[in-house]
Amino acid sequence: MSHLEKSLEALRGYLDATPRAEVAALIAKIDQQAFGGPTVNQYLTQLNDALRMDSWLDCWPAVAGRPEGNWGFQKLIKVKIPSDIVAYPSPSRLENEEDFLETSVCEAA
Amino acid sequence: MQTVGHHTCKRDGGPEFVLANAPFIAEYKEAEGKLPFLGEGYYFWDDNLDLAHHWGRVHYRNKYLILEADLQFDEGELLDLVGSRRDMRYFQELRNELLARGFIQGDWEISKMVELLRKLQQGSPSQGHLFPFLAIRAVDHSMAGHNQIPAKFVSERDNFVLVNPRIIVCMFEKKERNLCLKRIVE
Repeated sequence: MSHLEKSLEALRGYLDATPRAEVAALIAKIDQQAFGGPTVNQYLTQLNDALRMDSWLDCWPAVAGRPEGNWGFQKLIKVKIPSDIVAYPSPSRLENEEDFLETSVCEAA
Repeated sequence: MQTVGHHTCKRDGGPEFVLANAPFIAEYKEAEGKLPFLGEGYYFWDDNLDLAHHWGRVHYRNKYLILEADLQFDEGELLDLVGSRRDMRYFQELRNELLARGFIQGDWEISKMVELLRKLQQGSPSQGHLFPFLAIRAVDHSMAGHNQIPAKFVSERDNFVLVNPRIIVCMFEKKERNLCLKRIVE
């Protein structure tokens, strides 16, 4: 029996012998590991809190039409907000939102 | 199986530090934007110095070093999703087994499959054969990448072959016996 056949047999044996709930829990744990960060809404709340302004999302329509803006926004909300970005100037204090996005993504990545 | 691997990393610490400590692990944490394609591990481009330089220019803003190493794997240590139809069929069967029992959905990613199988292997010593590999090799077929060169088989058809494919090797553990003759390329 080859190592590949042994592997398949071992997987089938494990799945046959293990309660479904136990396997499901392990898979859920991996999902949590992969996707367990804050939700988008939680990130936005954090951002609003961090930037101390109610209209942070006002800059969103300005970037919605540009692929690189979308990418920057998605990247920004996908990563945890590092402490140094909390003190970052709000978008309205920058000359244009492109600078904001570039710098923010750079800081956050 | 033997090939040359190119691992691009930050220049931090300088060549001596990188030579002594590279390769560096790529973690699997989507919440932090870390999504290595084949799960957590030590990544190499398969014999592709050009792509390693491109990666350094784009991802490390030109402040990078490249570790070049001879990668050697004994029979059964590498799951080869590039050059072995047997390994590809095996991996499909593993996936189908999990699909048929309802544990995963059809759109499950390779990275997550690998993470799951490795955790099953680690979590149950009695299942020592479950996912016995030290590394996995796969090709990224996306066409958006750097310097992809589609070459048509014949002019009358659209069928083509990529002569400069982006092949990735992910080692799950950093073992010296799999990493031979390391050197720094600048």
